[in-house]
Amino acid sequence: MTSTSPRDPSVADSLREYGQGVAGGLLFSLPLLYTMEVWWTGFVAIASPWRLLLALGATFLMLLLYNRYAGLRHDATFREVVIDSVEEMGLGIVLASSVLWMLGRLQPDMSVREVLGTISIQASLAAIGVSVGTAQLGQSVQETNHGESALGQISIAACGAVIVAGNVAPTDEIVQIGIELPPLNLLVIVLFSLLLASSVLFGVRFRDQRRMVKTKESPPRLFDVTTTYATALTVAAAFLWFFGRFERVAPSVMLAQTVVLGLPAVLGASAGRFLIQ
Amino acid sequence: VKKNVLEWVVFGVSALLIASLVGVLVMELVTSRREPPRVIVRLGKAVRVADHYRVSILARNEGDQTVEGVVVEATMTPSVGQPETAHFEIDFLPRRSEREGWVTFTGDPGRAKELKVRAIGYERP
Repeated sequence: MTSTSPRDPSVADSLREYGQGVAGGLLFSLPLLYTMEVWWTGFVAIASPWRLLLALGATFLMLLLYNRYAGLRHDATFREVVIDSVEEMGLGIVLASSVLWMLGRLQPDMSVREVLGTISIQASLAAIGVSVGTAQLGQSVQETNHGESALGQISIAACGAVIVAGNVAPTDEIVQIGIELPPLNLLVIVLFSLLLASSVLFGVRFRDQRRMVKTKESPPRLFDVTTTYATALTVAAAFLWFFGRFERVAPSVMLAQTVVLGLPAVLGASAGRFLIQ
Repeated sequence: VKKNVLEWVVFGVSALLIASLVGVLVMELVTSRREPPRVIVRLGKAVRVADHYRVSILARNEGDQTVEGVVVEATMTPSVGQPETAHFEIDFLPRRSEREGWVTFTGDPGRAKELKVRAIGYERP
């Protein structure tokens, strides 16, 4: 648990930590486990196993980065970070499969492929939830700013974006809004997203100053806002690509969808830095 | 790395789960061919239910692409009288998977002159 005691963590401690992980995993992925489009993506996505592998790989990378920069043990070695990430991924798989089974989404007449497709997508999202849940529902003892480095900030922003945008990314509404919106509205969305990021990040800075956490003299505010929005847009585009929303559509529709999904993503990305961190 | 027995067990099980998931996906990747969807329907037994007959139909996608909105139609031509048609729709029929559905007729398909079934249409999801 906390790095203060040199002896092995007790079973009760680890059980509590897993409990927090499970709660976090459910908190962040239950809406998706209840979403039809996500089950269907499982059927469709299995047609391209490399896409699923890529999603699993990206998830694992995010777990590594998150555990490194925002995890419970800020003094963790690389080996510990890897072990934690493997455990979280495993918990995600177990959690996603059990809930899907409980909801009757895994039927005996489904082929192994379908089951795997459905589980891998949900497990990835659940694993991120487990990771964030373990760190956030756990005792927040460290007042230290883990994510000082740019990579740390971006990892935390990406995790926040995945959690918030993930809940709407697979829905048909994103496509519909993307197709219907005129360019002016898209521009307004972009401006609103930037404004949102600025105000939330300003909040983070204000809080850090009140806590008298060391902050740099002249903060690169513009840099923070642009990197956060860029991270959000990247996460949004990755989600849309993964859910097959970029197939057989014009580039302008891809862009429109990315901007539309970029709004919840930037909310998650900047709030992630506020809440998760 | 300090871990108790429980944590090592969780780690072991997790590693095993991930390895098998990735393993199966890699196998899928290696073995998957790019065959277009091919929906094959097979008639099952006719069962009498109250005032009608129920026939089970098994639809199987032999291709490597998932199809959506598969409409399966069955036509029964009795020895005497007009042919009867019945249909049902399958939301998703993933690759190399099957789904079961039923059609009903008022006449007895067991004594029909002809009972034909086929998937009349489906789309790419």
